[in-house]
Amino acid sequence: MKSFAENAIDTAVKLGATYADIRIVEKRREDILVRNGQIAELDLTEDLGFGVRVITDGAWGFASSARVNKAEIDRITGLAVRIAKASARLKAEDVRLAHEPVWRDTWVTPCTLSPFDVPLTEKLTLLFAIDEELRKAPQVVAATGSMSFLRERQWMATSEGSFIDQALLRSGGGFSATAVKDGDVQVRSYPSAFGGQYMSGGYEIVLGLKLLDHAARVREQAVALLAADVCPPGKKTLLLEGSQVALQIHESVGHPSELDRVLGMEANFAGTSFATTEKLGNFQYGSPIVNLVCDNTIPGGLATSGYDDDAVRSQRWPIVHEGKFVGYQFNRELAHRIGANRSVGSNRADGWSHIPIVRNSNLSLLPGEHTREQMIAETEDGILMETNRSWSIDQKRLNFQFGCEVGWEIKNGKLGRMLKNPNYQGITYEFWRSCDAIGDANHWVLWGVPNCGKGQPSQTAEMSHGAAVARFRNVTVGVGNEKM
Amino acid sequence: MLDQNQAEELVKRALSFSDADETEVILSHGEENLTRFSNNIITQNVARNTDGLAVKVHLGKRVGRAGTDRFDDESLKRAIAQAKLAASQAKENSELLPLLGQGTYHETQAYCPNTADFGPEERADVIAQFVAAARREKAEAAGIFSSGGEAVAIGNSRDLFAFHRETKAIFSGTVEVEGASGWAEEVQSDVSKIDASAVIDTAIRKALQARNPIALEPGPYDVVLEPAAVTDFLMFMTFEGFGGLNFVEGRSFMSGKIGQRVMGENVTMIDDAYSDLSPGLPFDFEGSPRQRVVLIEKGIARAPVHDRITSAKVPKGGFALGTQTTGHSLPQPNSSGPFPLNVALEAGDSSLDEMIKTTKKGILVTHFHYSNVLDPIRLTLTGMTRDGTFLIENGKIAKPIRNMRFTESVVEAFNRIELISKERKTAHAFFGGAFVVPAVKIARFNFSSVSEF
Repeated sequence: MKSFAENAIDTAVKLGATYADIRIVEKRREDILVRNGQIAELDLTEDLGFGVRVITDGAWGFASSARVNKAEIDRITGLAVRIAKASARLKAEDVRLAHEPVWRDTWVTPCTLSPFDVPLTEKLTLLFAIDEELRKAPQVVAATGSMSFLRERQWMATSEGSFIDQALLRSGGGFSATAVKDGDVQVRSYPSAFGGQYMSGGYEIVLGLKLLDHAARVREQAVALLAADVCPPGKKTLLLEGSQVALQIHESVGHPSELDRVLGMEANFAGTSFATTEKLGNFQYGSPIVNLVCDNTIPGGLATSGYDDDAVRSQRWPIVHEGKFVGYQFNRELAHRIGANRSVGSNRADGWSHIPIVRNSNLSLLPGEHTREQMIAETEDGILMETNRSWSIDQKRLNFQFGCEVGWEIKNGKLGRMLKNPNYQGITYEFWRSCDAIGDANHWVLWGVPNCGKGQPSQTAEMSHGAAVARFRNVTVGVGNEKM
Repeated sequence: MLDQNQAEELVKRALSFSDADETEVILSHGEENLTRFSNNIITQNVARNTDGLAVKVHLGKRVGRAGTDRFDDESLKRAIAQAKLAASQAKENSELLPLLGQGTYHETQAYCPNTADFGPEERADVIAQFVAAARREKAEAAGIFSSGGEAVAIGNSRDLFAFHRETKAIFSGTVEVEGASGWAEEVQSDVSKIDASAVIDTAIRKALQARNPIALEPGPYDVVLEPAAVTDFLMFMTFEGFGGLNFVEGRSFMSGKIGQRVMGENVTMIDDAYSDLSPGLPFDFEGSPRQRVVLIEKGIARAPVHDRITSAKVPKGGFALGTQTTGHSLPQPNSSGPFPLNVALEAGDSSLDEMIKTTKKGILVTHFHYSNVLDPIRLTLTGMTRDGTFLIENGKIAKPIRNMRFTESVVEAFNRIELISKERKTAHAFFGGAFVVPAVKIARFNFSSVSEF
């Protein structure tokens, strides 16, 4: 692979590129899904290809192909240069890349047990046991359990002399029960929604989830939701369990702090950001107990690696410190736009066929000092919501509305009745400023988001958000539930 | 781009390496060339070429699937070996059906060589026109020009072979000026049919009109939705309502309602892969010919789409469906069931102008952002307006307004459609999919909150 990579760089430079990089990526995936007693997915996929990125005449060009051979690399590199020259017809200034040391390094995701060494029969036995437990209730019309494993080996070379060989591994799984009665559909999932919990690492992650132990409870709650009262509309104190806080972080802090979005580069699709550059350093994003930190070195994070796809070494840096907005996520190209001397290492591509773009990193809410029990005991009139069911936010990342699978009423410091169709709506900075309690380290989990979409063409990235249960005051809940 | 002969050679070569009881191969090839711009400059410019071959084998009633993007003999043999390994370790699948033999397919005119050959220089030329127009208004342009296509072939050990390829060009642009934005988009199979000037002029006009918006109180309003705004509703109807698996499991607004009124009399929706406006795949991923399906007819729920598995299931409530596959299967097995891919809302006899003229007080919406489902049976959605939202008063566009969030049951809203336009276009939904849509006017549509811009 090294000789292919060097060949691409040589060709690009000969064709006039002032910068070039190539990523050759080999992926191996195993996706298993059991639904209602049948195997709905048992897919073993392998994928190899490369993408060449160049700066020529001061502008970017990118091309990719699945055919890894010298002739194709030459052709694709030539195409990337041609594309860059077309880009140069409409530029304001030449692309400027922040300095990054040259790295010649390898990096491997630590793991205890490779998921590819675990027999399929063992994985299927677990999923079928969960399936059987979930379907003990006739109201459960759909029981779905899944596991997914991805190993990604990437060789990256740059014209600056970096050569990085990384092997990333991520594993995870989860399940859900969908119950239906009289035109009402309710879902409960574990450990979180939309496929479950994912982390970087091996099969030890799936074992640590103890999936089967939770199947009966999930079934019972899905059925109970059918008879539960609807979450009433109004203003309440809102407690969010950790996985929902993770989604809140992702949508209302992660995306608005992506600098490319701030600078208008996503305007036509996913939108821009209210967190414009004059706010950096002097905007109160949240209450003083709110601290949000990016960390692409944290063990287990889905965005954790040695280097990003700009060949920038992974780092840790703050986005919100004691409530104040202090940082962005950005890459080498955009660093100078905020006076930064170095990229923070947030540039990633979905495999070999896509161009790297600024992506959400592992962005976490640092633990606070409350226990969950304390938070509930201190709440006179509130709702505790758990597990995401829907999400919607405006294109500047201000007005959001999120729905959860289940809520519980809190009255006078005690958890009470179960509530269905709980949702809440707010304006991002008002919401974070209303945060008055955050769970301590004992409640803190690094939640995985394996399916974040961004860009045109659309690409998927994975990242993690660490969070504990958190409390927010005077939040609008139950939107639209007046009619139910 | 991959042609039929190349696809057939590859599919048959892959099949020849398998000794499984049954073998199926699905080949896909994509060429996506996209120039992206923002702040009046080209920011990203890519040419993606992707290949994929998924092989599925049956060993008795056990099934396994493997994929590769390499097509040399050794890689194909390895993929088959992997699929057999997966199948050998799987439990028996009681729903597994034998593969199909050759079907008869009607070609759709979805491929245009012009589009496949449209290069980066030509895309840059169109974008330069947009940028020049935006600069004249002291505005900034952002968007994409995409040209490319995809090919798909399916073959199996019962000598089934089917091939389809299509091209797509998309020109989409957002203009920002003085804090306001406007948007327009056009989608065509033939890039030469894209009216770039219309896209540019519309996006600029909307942005200029959207400056200095006022805030409107949330509440129910009559709403005039441009075609792109309607697409989000059709997309969620597709994934939550029109699929056979949702239907038989009681999770669709159509469940138990076949033959009953679910929407207004003026609403007819059809899935049609043979429409000139949105030609699509003429077969499904089992090789069944794709049928034209009347989903809703004059407000009456007629049928969801089916594959062979869902069409054989008796839904809760006890009555048999007595129907066959409609040719909408995804690759089997799968967890989501069949879906329509070419949904169209039938035209009415009105126009956008008439809808505005007949509105005493209402809201005109260009398109929505990030809509999502709150209740899958009532199909209650929430989402935000964007890029040109206006107050209509006494039959005229009166003022621009700040973007608003809607929270509304779209099934119930489709009972309150007052007017549907005669003109339709092909448009994309925010999360994907192409739909043939008119503009519509709906009475008393609920807006639940307002944003700051």
